[in-house]
Amino acid sequence: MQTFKKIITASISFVLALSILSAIIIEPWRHSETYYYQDGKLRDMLAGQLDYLIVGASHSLEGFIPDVLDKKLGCNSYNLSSTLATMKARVFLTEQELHRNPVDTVILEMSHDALRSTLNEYGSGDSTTFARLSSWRTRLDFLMKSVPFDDWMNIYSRDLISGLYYWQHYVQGDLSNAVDYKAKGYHPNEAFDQSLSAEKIEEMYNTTSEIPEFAPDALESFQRLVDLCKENHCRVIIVTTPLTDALIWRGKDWDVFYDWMEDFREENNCEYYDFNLLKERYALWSDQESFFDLSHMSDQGAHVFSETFAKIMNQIDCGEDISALFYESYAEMKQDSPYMDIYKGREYA
Amino acid sequence: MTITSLTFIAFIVIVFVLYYLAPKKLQWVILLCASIFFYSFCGIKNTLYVLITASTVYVATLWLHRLAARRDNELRVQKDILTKQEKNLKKAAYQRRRKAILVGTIIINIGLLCVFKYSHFAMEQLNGILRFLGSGQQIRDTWNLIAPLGISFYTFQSVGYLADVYWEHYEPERNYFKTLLFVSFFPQMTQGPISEHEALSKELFKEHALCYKNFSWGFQRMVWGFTKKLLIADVLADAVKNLFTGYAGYTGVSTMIGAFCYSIQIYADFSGYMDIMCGYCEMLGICLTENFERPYFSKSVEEYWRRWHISLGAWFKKYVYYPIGMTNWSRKLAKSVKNRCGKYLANTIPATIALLVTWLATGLWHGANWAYIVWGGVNGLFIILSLWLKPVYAKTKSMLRINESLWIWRASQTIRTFVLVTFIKVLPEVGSLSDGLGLWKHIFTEHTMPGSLNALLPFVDLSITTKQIAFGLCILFTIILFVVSLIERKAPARYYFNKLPAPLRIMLLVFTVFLLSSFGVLSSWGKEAFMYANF
Repeated sequence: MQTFKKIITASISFVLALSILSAIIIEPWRHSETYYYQDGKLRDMLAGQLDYLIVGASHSLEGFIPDVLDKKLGCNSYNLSSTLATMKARVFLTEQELHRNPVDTVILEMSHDALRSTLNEYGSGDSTTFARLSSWRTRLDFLMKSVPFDDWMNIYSRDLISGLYYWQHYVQGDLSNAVDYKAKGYHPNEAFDQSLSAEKIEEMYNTTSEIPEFAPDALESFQRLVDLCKENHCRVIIVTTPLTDALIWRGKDWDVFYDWMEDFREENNCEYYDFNLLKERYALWSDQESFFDLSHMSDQGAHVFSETFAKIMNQIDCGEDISALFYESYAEMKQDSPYMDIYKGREYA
Repeated sequence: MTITSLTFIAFIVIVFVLYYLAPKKLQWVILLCASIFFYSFCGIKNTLYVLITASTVYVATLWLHRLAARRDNELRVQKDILTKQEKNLKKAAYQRRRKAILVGTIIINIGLLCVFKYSHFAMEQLNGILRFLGSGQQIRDTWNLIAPLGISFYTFQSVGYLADVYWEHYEPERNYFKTLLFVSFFPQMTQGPISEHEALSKELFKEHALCYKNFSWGFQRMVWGFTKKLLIADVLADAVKNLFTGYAGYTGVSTMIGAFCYSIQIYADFSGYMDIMCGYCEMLGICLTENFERPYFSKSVEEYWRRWHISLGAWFKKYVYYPIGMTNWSRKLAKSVKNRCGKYLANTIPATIALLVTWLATGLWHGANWAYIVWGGVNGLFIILSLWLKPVYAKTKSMLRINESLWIWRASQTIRTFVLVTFIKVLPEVGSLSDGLGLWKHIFTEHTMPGSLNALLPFVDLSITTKQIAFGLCILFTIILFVVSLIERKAPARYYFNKLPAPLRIMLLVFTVFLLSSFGVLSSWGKEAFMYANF
């Protein structure tokens, strides 16, 4: 009995010491203005008012500006997207907001790589979603429902590291990356030129395979997400946000994804718009100014995209046929790419 | 269920609690259930193969023992009736039957291992021969077999037990479930150690009381094992992978440093696993066979192999090397050489043949490709050379009056051995045999000197701050590993660690677990498997 007590005491001391150390590292960061989003509290405040949700990963996080949508569509929207968010995490966040808000429209952002099995790289997807939850109860709920047990450690690990960085910046006195709550979940990016050189244009045309194999559990969760929105009588709009011409130029299998999405749309009787196929795309956003990297938009690009999206939604709501605004395939779209002129040996138009 | 996963940690905590809550007589039953659960969790098919091995070995060992007992009984009863010749004939008849059982059981178990591990390789060779003979026909390898978890380890352990019963070293286990636990004991199933039945069964089937020292020492060892795996091996894994896939792009010096990184990685990975499992077993009061004894401090390749993967070396020695030396033709060869060339060669030539076979088999055990076979051959060659050159070494040393007790002499021998084993180690790991040889050549022919630290370690991705910190920690813990190995010359490092005041010990452990949970977990993402689990 004495040994048993000694072991229990030692184990409790160890766990307690580890918990105190973890709390010292993580908690100041979690309660700071630099916490990844710190928007859980904001959403708690807005509960009961939101009617338009944007659900996705980094492409929509850096593409949809709720303020623009609110102004142009007359809604009260919120961007729920998180970097590398898994499909299960999207279901969780959507479910939470659908239960407490009179949501009538949900935009589901679907990128070409959103259904891959390695989406949750280094546990980062779960970690960023975890960061958006405002109470320990919902965090625990999220862990139990949406995160495989083995991945719990990844969240703890990433929180510890983020906490350490917070302390590092705190000591150095350069805590500058505070969160802008007014952005309602949107994350602005700087612009970096992504355009291809003439050699790269020659070299890379239709060379890479960009569509990864879909993971069955991600597919299942995607279906669940659509069903969930329908159960709550929401209009479901699936959207693929713009990618750089450079990325589209090199990929040879974009139409595989587009066709798959079209089939999915038909089967589920919902709307789907791929904004890469918008005919105006070459006039609206450019590789030079509209993107942060190959697949994420810059703030400037996001503004143009959000406005364009709102315009098209208004057109649809007015009963206009918008099918003529879009190319029918990536192959067709590529023919109009400015890179095609160079590729074909003509002068840059 | 990977060993570094949260599921595994939860699993071993539950097993620990149940083990000590259960009546002491039933502790082994808890271990058996845990082992079966562990194996089934990793794939139900795995359990089936373990059951085949355990069942065949159980039946065979009992049968072997029964025949031996019947033989002894008949000889005792008919002691005065039978002539010496008749007794020998009876013994030979029984021996033939026993041998048939032994060979049959070995064929089933090693056959299973061969089918899973070597069928693809065998077909490749067969197709090569067909191509060489100009035949247009090729055999299609459509089986696409995946070897059951730990099959190399539990098959060898079972075959060892079978051979020991055949040699009548000890009696077989009469309880089937105890045999099943011996074959399937989960801490040693995936990477060993390959234990002898006599030693392991004593540990498994005795009653264990909860002991604080075992608990704390075992826990400390587990933490140290996880540190080796997550903060050394997994951090180096990316660097080593980069090197092996593109060594041609690096300088000779960088490639050599990368090869040393591989040596550290594989040691930290394999010994880390052993520390985790031996530590856990220590918490359960079970003492497992040690697999490492500071191998990188060896002074020769032969000594290195006595201190690296000790249980495998001991298995090959007992069940391959010695039996080859004991065969009739080996004895005849020794006798004939002795008559013609003297005693020295009579000892050396049969030993050389036995060594060569043993080392080629060791190579083949590690992997079904030519690079591993050559790797085994090169190891064997070094050991054979040292055997043949022993008199030359002795003469040279006495001529040069070398004082072997001088630290500088011993250090130079240690460094020489470390460099040698590193060079041998990388041979099969680069990919193919030609790639391995290409890497050797590259080290010696690419003379450009790196101009900066980044150029010295170009295969280490230090572009991200977290990776920089993880690499810094990796260097720190590699130094600690070196110091611990030095300390362990005299006594286990834990002996000194436990002399520290309790609060300081807890703080150090908490801090290490904190580093493991942060940078360790992040570095090991996607690299959960242990390297030796592939062998």
